Amino acid sequence: MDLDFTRATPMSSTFTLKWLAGLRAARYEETQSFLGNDGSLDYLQDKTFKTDGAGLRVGVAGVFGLTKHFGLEGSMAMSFLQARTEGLSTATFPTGSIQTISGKDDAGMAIGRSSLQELFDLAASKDLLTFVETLVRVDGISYNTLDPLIELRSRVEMNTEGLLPEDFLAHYREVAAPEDALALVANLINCVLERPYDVSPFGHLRSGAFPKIVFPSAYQVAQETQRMARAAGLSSVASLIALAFAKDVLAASEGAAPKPSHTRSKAAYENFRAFILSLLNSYSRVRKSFLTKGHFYKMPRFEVLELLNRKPRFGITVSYFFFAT
Amino acid sequence: MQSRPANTRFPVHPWAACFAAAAMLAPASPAAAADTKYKGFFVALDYALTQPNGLDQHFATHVDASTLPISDERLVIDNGTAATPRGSIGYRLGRGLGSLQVTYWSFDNDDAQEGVLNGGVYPTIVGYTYGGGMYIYNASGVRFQATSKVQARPWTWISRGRPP
Repeated sequence: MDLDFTRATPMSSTFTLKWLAGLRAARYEETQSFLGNDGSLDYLQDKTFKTDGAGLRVGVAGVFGLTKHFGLEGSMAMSFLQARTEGLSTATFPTGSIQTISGKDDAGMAIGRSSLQELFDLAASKDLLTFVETLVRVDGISYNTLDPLIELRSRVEMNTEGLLPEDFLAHYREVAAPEDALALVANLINCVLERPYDVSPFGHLRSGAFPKIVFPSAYQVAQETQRMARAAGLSSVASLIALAFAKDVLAASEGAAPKPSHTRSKAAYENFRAFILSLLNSYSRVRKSFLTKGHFYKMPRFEVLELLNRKPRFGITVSYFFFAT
Repeated sequence: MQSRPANTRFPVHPWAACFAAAAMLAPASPAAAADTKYKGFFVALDYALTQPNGLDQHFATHVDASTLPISDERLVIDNGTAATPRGSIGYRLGRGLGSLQVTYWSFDNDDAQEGVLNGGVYPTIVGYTYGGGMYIYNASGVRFQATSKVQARPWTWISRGRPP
């Protein structure tokens, strides 16, 4: 319902200005749905936003009296609403699995943030130095080596549509094997638990002595990360990892379980792909957020450590740590 | 975005021209002097075509790898126009003091798109869930149907409960 007060102010013999001040209380709803069929299976998605808002409304109109009986009027009005929004989206997979995302906000339009973004935010709210070490992924000296996470992204974004079931399973095992993505998650959890940065968070899972070291499998690393996530109270992150690193499919690819169907392998790989891309997108976003401003870190005995960034050149940003004096 | 009307020979709708002519030939109405002289209740009715703008309802991405270079397009709902009725009742204070009015309006727009596209059609309405994204692929055609509904109406005490 709009409740308006309007008043006209003559500006000349032919032009009158009208202004408006009022209140508006309104509900907005936006609903979208999608139904897709690949010839045999149905895929469903839908999303609804509902917003209840109330606030001020202002406007202005100009009236041009061309003749005594005929004129032109142009007007505009704008509302400033304090709103409460609720959103719900639902994805129904052919397997019968129904996934939902819900979100709400009391200021304007909003959607639910991913659990991984929340993990980054939670880690950033703890010890800044450990968080920066985690983002930089402090490691030993490496030379002429592509960042494993950049390599992982390119392999995950590879088109796998034409792969045979055996090749598809092998691809899943290959891309799931490197520890780097889960090492990042593990150190974010270390931040949340206020533990120091760990260069090799899964080192304790290795067995044997050099040169016959036995490295943990992808599934063992995933299990360990899930355990850490649950210990930190991050059960949603643990669930994401469990879905991404599917035990039945990865164990089969390692020869320790019966071979799953191709449909099951594809579903598990899509979970893995979604997890990795979501993680890397959040990682990239958080790293870039450090470029815009300096950061200060409180040290013992009233010393301050300052993080400064130099303007990117050739795509490389150099960060400096200073002891501010 | 809607295409322009095809009638370019007579760009102004005949009804609009008739209305303008009637307005010019009509006896002098009190409208011009109403703000200063007239005092009392008034009623106003509006009926307009309104089109949602800027929603960018991206519902899927279509990738066809059978062509070189690989074609990649965003599938976005084409929001059409819908009627927006509006009714006001008010009181003009007279002596140039302005007027107070209460307005009820509503907007309800439904749009739909469907078709068959070769290759992959990847819905984006939900994005990634715990179950991952959806990848619908059929080299000989994926059938899809997308709908959109946009509604707006004033909040009323009886039907909506308390405002925020």
